Amino acid sequence: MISLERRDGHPLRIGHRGAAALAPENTLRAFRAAVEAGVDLVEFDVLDLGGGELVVAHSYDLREVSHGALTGTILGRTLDGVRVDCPELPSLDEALAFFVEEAPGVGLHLDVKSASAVPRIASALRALDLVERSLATSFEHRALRRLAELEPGVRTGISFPADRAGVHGRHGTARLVRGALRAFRAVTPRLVPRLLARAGATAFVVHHALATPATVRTAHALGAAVVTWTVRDPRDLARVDDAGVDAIVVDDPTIFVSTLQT
Amino acid sequence: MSWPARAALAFALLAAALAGLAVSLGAASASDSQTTTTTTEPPPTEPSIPPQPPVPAPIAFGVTVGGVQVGGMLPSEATEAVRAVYTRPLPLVVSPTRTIRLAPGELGARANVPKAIGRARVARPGRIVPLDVAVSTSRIRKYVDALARKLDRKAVDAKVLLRGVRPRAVEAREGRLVKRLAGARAIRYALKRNARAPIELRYELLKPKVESVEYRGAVVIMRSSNRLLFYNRKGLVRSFGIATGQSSYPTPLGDYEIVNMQRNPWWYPPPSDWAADSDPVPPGPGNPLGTRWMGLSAPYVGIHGTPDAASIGYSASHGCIRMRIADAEWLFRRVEIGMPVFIVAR
Repeated sequence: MISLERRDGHPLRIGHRGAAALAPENTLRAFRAAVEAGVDLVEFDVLDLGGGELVVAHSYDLREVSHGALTGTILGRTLDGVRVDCPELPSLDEALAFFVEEAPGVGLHLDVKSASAVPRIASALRALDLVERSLATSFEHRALRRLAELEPGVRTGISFPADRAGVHGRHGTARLVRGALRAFRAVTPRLVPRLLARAGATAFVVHHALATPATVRTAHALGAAVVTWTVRDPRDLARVDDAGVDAIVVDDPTIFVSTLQT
Repeated sequence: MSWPARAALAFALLAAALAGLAVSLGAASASDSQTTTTTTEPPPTEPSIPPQPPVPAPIAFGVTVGGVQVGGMLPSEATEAVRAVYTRPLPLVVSPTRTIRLAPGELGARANVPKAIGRARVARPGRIVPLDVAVSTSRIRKYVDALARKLDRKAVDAKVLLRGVRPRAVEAREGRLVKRLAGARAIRYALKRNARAPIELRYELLKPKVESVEYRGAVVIMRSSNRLLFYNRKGLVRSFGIATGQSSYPTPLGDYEIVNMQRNPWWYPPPSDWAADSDPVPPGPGNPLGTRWMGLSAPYVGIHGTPDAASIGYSASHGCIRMRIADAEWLFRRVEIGMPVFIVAR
């Protein structure tokens, strides 16, 4: 099972969707940029197109998958069909092959967006002998439980808090989100044991605004590592580092050198 | 004396007489006044009428120089016309999409235009006056040689290649060799004749030795990572942890293929000092080759199962590639004799 704990007192560096600040997110180009920047793990999203084909994409929104070029949906389309619009869209197999062929020392952080993808994720990780290098996280505790049943060697982490209404990042909601997160901050430590137990997870994957020392202490007391997402501001990075988180997901992996000198 | 020359002389004499130069020209040379085209200062002794230079006679009708019609032109116009045609670049077609324009001067060619015009001035109507072009055969050859080195292509055999660690089938491609002598000769001939019609560079086609390969998969062994990757036509299928040769018996790097496949093999000690005192081992639980042997074209090296699963992930063997028993059996079902095996350092 992959180790997520701090190494030599430093948090692990995780590139968000590859390295979203350095190259188009969720592409092999972004993976390469992240590996070149020296990350410990590369985070990417795994989505079921609906017909059973697994791709590396954050959502069905074509605008997001095509990096702003087109609008529409990719749900229900075939991989070959979507590739006409988004030639760089990697299939899960291609993404996993990247870690075998090009980045044998780098860990995988799979963000499982579709629960239906779990059985194929398990078999693909096993076939390519990537089980021991992988962390799978999700907002869906059932998906994580299912994955642990199929492949107990994969480390799992429960993500929190889920943005079920989809307000995050939408225009004019920044203050609302900030207010909600502040309210969550106080209660998060109390929710950690239940969230971990329900998912059977050994990592707590939390928004950086909620990564307080109390949350980290609670998770560590339960033997779980704390992974925090997605840090863009150096001040946030210094704060979550002080809070003692084990791993930090960032858009720009070079932020670690400029902020923490690691 | 031919008619045009006689006419020219008469014309010149008439012109001189009209200018009233009979006296003043006694000192000046006749040739000077014939060739100059600018009006000279009237001599201080004779202020009456300025001297008129003689008008050169036009070249006779129908005369060509180096294939250029110069009939009716004055010699200076004719020189210009012949030069313009001569200095046009010579198009050399190296491929259907690429044409090189050769400047005759760069190939060391030199045309003697004054000589040809001199002959044209005294030629009868309709005469074909050749343009002497001196060409340097060695310079043309050298040029064609240098060009050919850029254009020649080796034939590519169909084969399976690695890109990074990923195998891919490469299709065969014909090679080509510029026909250098014929090319140089065609250029030389065109320059000599003052022709500027496009010259097509010709090639000798080289056939590849292997026209096609059937790519059904490949094995890639990453020696320092101690991993074995199995690819089929679509891509990476499985990745295994393996043991490779220790530093004193390194697994050889290179491109090999599977030459020998055996189930439940005997083990025979190879002719190496570490195995000097060993006896052959029959198939069974203690056999160092496990239950499957896939011999490579590298001598005494193969992929095999091992009862020593603890060595997997390390550089621990005597050069062979050790796999877990179950993994070796899985691989054995999918490889075949002749399948490429690439051993890379990474």
